[in-house]
Amino acid sequence: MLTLRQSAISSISDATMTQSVETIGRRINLLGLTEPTIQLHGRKDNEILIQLPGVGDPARARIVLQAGGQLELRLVHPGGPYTSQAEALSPTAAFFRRVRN
Amino acid sequence: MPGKNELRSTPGAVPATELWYIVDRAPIVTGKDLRTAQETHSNPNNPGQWQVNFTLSQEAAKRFGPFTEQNIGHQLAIVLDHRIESAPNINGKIEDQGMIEGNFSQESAHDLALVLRAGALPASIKYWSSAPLDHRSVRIPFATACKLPF
Repeated sequence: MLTLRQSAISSISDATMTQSVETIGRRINLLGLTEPTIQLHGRKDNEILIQLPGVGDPARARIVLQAGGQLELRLVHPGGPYTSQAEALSPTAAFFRRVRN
Repeated sequence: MPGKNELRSTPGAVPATELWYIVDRAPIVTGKDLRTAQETHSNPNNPGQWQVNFTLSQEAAKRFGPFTEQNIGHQLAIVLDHRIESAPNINGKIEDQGMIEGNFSQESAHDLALVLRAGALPASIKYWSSAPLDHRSVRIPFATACKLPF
């Protein structure tokens, strides 16, 4: 069994938190909100406290700040689309995909 | 799934409307390759329909051009946070531009373009709680705390 050293876990955690704070800061800036406070919070330093004075639409701000924002373009394999996960994984679908390829 | 494939689905209001695709495990382009992203009207005749146009960096375009040329006739999945937004056909060589079509209002298209310009979060965040700022604050307040899943 392999385990990560505590120092490695801390390092990954710190980098993730720093990057998250930076990304959230950029989003708040692009939202045009001024004087935000973004700070690490909590005993384990895995919480971020965000204060947005004067935000007009808190629900919208929350959606923007929470969005993962991960975009990827991936080639689609022939044979689909399928109406369910089970259908996509079925031997019949795999057979037709092989024939078309 | 073994090999170089992955399963991805399109968002649907109910499970019955979902469609599933098998896609390459390795993306050809990611959000890090974007130079700009901007919302725009999808169709001048339908002012309520919006999309997000994006431009790739020079380096990504060098990769994307030959890739699209070699895959004309195939579909390219636009995957956003692990869900397929659309899967358009590649009709010709594409150098550095693309678009994300979906059921976007102006507001949601604007917000997506903003999120793409600002970059992706390194981990998903969990909304924890929100509370009004202290009454001593002059302006109408809002505070939220997010917690990372460690």
